[in-house]
Amino acid sequence: MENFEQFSLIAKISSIIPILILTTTMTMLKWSAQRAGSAGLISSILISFLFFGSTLEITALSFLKGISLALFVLCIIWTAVWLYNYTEQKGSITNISTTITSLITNPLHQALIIGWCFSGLIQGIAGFGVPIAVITPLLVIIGMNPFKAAAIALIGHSWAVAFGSLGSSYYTLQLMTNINSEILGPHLAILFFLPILLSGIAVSHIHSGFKGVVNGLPLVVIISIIMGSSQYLATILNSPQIASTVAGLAGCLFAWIISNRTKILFGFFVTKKQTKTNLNTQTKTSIHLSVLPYYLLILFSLLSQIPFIKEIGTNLFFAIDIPETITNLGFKTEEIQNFAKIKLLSHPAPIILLSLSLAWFANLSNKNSNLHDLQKSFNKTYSQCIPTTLTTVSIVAMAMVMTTTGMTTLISIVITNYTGNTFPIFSPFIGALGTFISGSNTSSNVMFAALQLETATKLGIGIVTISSIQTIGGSIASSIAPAKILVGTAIIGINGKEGEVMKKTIPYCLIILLIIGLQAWIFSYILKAI
Amino acid sequence: MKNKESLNNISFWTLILSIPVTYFGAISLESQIITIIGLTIASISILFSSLSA
Repeated sequence: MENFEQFSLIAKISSIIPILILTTTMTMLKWSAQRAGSAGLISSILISFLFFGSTLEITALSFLKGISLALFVLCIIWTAVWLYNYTEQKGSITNISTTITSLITNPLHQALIIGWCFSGLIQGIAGFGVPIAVITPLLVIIGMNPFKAAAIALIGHSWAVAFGSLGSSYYTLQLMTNINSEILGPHLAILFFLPILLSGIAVSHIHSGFKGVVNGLPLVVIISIIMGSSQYLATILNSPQIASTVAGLAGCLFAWIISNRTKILFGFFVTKKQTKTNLNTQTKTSIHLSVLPYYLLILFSLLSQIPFIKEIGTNLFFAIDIPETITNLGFKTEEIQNFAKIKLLSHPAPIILLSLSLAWFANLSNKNSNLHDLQKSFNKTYSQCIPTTLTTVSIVAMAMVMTTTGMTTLISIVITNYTGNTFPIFSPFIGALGTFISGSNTSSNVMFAALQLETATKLGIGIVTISSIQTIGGSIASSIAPAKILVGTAIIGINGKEGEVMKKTIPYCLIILLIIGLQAWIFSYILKAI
Repeated sequence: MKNKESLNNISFWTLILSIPVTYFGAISLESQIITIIGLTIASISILFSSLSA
């Protein structure tokens, strides 16, 4: 941006209006994200014409940019939900859950393993509220109070959201900031050690207060290091799409080992009743057949990173070229070639589809599935994903209109002027605001990643740190997003009590966000991180 | 519920239709009339989406 003085005072004030409309309609008028997104998009287009010198061509190009960006993410959402629906239909999710439950007998360990590690694993694979839908009833089944169960699932899965959903939020962040994945991924993983630890401590506290924190601390610290290191390793291997999955899996596996060791060394008491319940809930399907789609997913994700395969797929991609745009007020965006490129051999969607196909063939050969199963699970996916698609497109298009016409730049200037050197402390709260209003870390990254990046650039602090903090804030705020809370309350039959669940999660979320903000400030000004 | 699903379906398919029309209008052919048609179809999609929510 050459000179922001070309914008009138009313333009500066109105630049925030689309975000305010999105926020207030969802929180005060209790509109759904789908309707609020449409309202936000319409307001952003009107404001862009009235005060930002937009043209028909700019609106059309912003819309196409929004579609391209949304398509990248929606391909992951559709295929991931289809894979989940198919595996759930085959009873695999229940089988995996009951197997884990039968292996852990200590109630606090159960809360940590299921609510913190396993929920992270599910978030890594599916996301989009699925961890809440799976974990909350599971915790209730093993005897937990429904409000505690919902709160544990919400806080427990929040560490895995940024790398979750097979990397959809992460890839959006990377696209919006244009930071090299080999730099962004590992840096984000390092910054995630603290939120992982804090969410584990929060789960212990929700479960049994300060006594729980003290009793659970050794396990929480060790598992945090293991999960954090697993995420870091996955990003170093350039496989951020499986970072949460691998971390959740490592956490579950290690907890299983420590739980058995503890039983052997200290003779932990296991009641006959618990053992009987666990045996009764075991299903007959092989656990390995249940986990097969996810074994395949991890395998193919790793294979896609082999240089030879990467080289083959270099020219196999889908993308559009976006020409340069200049508004009537002189705000310019550069020409972008291959915008939001979808690489056919390394994008998560084809990998998920391949895993699904092979898992289906394996079930078919075991006479455990047929074509109808695949069709039935797709029909369910279609119904589930259409509202998500419409919401994502409208919010992403709104963000693109704001970015292309200079609204986000103006907002970042205002934030920079008001917060100054304390900006890193507020940075995670901006990410959190995005997730709170949209229920999606991906949407939050679309709305605010560019803004955070520009602010960090203006302040002269590390853009990688601030971009990472944006998605970490968004990730943690999944625990207070009304859209996610609704999933939990609906599934365990406490509809209308969303406020009570939110009251439980808000203090933990705010404390974690504040600590993350302080971490960001230390990284930015003391460690002078990139 | 069925009404909501129908509105979502209409919104979804009009959105799909608007993409190639807008693309050809704004990028390939650089035709303002086609761009207007594409954006009009997209507006119909937004309208149905907000009605269904």
